[in-house]
Amino acid sequence: MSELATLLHRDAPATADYHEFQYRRVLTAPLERRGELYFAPPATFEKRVRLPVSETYRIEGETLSMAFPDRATRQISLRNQPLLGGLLLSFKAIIGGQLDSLDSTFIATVGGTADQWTLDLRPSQPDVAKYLEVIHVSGHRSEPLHFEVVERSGDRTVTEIEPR
Amino acid sequence: MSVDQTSYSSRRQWLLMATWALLLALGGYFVASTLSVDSDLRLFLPAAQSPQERILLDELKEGPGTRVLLVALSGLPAEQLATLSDQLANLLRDHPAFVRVENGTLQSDPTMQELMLRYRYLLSPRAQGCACETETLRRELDARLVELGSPAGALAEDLLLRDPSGEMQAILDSWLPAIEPQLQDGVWFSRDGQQALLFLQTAAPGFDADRQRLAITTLTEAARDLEPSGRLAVAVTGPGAFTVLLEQSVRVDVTQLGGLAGIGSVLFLLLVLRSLRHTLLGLLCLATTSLAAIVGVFLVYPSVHGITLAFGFTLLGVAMDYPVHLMLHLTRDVTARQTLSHVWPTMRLSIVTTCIAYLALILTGFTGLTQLGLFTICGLVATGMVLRWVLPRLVSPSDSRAPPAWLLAVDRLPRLPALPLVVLGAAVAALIVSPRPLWSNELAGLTPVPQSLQDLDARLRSELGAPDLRYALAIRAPNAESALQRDEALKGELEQLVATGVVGSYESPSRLLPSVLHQQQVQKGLPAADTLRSRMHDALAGSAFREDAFATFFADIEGSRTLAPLTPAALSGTGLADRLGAVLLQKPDEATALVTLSDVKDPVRLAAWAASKGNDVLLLDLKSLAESLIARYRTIALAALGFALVVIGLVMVVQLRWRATLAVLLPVLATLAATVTLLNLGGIQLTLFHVVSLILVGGLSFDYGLFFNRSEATDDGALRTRYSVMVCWISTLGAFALLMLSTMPVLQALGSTVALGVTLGFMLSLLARHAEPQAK
Repeated sequence: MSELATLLHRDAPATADYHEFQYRRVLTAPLERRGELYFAPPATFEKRVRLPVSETYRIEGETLSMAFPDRATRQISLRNQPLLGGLLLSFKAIIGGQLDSLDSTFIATVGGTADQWTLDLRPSQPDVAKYLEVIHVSGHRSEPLHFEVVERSGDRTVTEIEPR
Repeated sequence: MSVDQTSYSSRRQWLLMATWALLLALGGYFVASTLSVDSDLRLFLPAAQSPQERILLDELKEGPGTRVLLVALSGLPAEQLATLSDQLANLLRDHPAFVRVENGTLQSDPTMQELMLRYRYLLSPRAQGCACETETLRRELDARLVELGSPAGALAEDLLLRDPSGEMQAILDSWLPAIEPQLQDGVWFSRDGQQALLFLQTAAPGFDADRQRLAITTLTEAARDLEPSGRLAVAVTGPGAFTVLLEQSVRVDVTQLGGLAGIGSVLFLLLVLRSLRHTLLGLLCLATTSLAAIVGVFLVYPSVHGITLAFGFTLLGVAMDYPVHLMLHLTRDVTARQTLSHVWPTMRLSIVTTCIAYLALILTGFTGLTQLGLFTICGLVATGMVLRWVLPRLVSPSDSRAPPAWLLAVDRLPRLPALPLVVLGAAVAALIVSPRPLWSNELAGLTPVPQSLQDLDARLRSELGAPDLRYALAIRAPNAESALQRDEALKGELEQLVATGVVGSYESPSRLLPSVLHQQQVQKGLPAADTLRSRMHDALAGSAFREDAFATFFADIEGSRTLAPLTPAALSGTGLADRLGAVLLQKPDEATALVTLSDVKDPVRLAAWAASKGNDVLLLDLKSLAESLIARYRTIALAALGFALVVIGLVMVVQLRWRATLAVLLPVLATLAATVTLLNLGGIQLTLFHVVSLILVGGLSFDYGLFFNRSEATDDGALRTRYSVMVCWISTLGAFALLMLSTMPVLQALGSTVALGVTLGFMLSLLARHAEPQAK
């Protein structure tokens, strides 16, 4: 775990493209989205959706700002949103190499080697566990490459990261 | 024998005094245990004359606006403040004293959520109640698909499928306030980022001092428990906070300043009367006057206004003058009864005329002034009775003292009978050329709240986006339903006013809750199950959604067609009821819907439009309404004062002669004019409380004039009269100078006005005193 944390640790801002597929029972085809992930130490994380629409989710400390094209930016406190917070914070923690921030929400299991590592996150809070089954993450050395969020319902979201 | 009799008599006198004191203590205990103070500003306002004024006064009294408390947390780093704001908000939400607690975090209120979900098609801002045509459905479904893909939307999959036309979001969007406070760390913050802000609504109305105090104590104690270090500063403003502050200030001032004044007057009386017995008697008189005054008000009113009480106690100082006059006139070789019969006519005239002045206050018909008048008259009448029937039995001529020798110097002061005329002329001329407006027309001028707190309140209101409610439309109807219908009928024209730039925006009550009629029309327009299924089938062609995912949507539309429409009564207990209550005022036989208008750019066209709408639509300009109320109030109060002066003048002409009347009244007029002029030159705009202070100044100067112009049989009598007037002036000056230390600006103003006024009155009456003592 600490080796992985050392691998992922970042001191400089980082940007990566992502490509996401959502497999949902209520849909006949997977939902596809593209965009970029941005991290600036110590605590800023943005998920910028580019396709099919432009949306920005920005976490600054414990505040989540959501910017949509034709609506005012909304801000909410993640303190009161364990589920949404848990999901976004897991991305933030892994992209930004701050694994210890996961402790309050997830139980983490590390596997593989430095060249081909895996990380499973299982929710520790009942609120989150009601909805979320597990998050599988895998990557190569300092680069996380693959996220798979599995919901209790069986719906899945797969995210491929393409480092720049 | 005679020695025995005297000692028996003296013992009986002490026994009488002890009994008197005991009775007063019992009465005082009774009053203190039942005393209830209120702070309803309306008691100091005239009765409403127009429907607009009635709405304004209703709002001031019990309107939801009076239940708002604004809280600012500061003194710690922003992150800590944000956490504390959340913790505090959560604690208060569970407390029954608060019906609404907002700090910027999104609230999930399950009852409200459930209600909105169930009635979403009837509450929807969309004309048809549902975007359920094939084309609109297709667009909405595309939007839902995008939302489903977003992190927040994925969590709300069930809701998205249940509400594919997006009615919930449409309703929430239409309920958003025009301006939202700035968010930082997820909670509301002031623009400078130094204060975390909360918006609270209490269960109790703003003027319920006891329950407001409970609410505020709950709040401050919860904050202290969360952050015991003492570094967290909690500021609370709003009508309820002001009520509590006023009540506390009155209590503190009455106990502390009252205590100081008490000690001061005991020392002063001892110094002047140089008799323990007479000092005790003076205090017994004062206590009797106070008790009679309070009991008099209590016999008529269930509670006393804080301002009446605070003002009233200061007026009682006047009553104290009479016993002092009597005691200073006593001489060894004359019985107390004879001395009294000598000074009594002047005292009686003074008491009667003062009572007439305060009767004028009662006749104004404003509860606050009536209480004040009643308070003073009861006190004065009690003093008169004590003076006439009790004191002569208890004072002892052998305790009398001759006036000090230096007083003869005062007697040698020149007499300037023309001085009052000169002062009067100069003061009036100065007032006429003064560029400063004489009167303050602000409703705020009547608020006994310190300016700093008023400023904080105004700043918090603007930070929290509470609209500056200057303009509103009041729609009056026999009941809530017809008021809402009329409101809906005006919607097109209101949109037109926004489109043509007359007003910036508006908020209608029917937007929170449509009329039953509107809801029924929407129900008729909702598609039947078969129609909806076939439209949905067409709309889903080529969509990624599976057709069988929308079972809950079909069931909800079908259910909505037969739901009983939502009424204001059905909302009770939800957050929506509080919001609706603020803009839909319901009484048993009428209802008023308030449409708030923000950013009014063309008041003239707005007024013309409103005037064309008929009697049931009124444009409220709250600022000018409040100002005209205050102005009318002042006119009535001044008319009463003028009436009192005329009556007093007539009484005096009957009792005295023309010349004597003028000699007494001219210095009074000059004193009043000079006081007003000096205040104006000092940059002070007069409020109603200055008028009340001036009435007191007038009454006291009048007494000085009466006594200075008394016909005295002897030089010694004349000397004693001057002495007693001087003693009365100094004690009044002392008491009111003390009042300038009060925490309440109103009482400070009263203190400085009266201290200035009585000094002018004393000097003018002394210098303009009538001819030499003349034999009767």
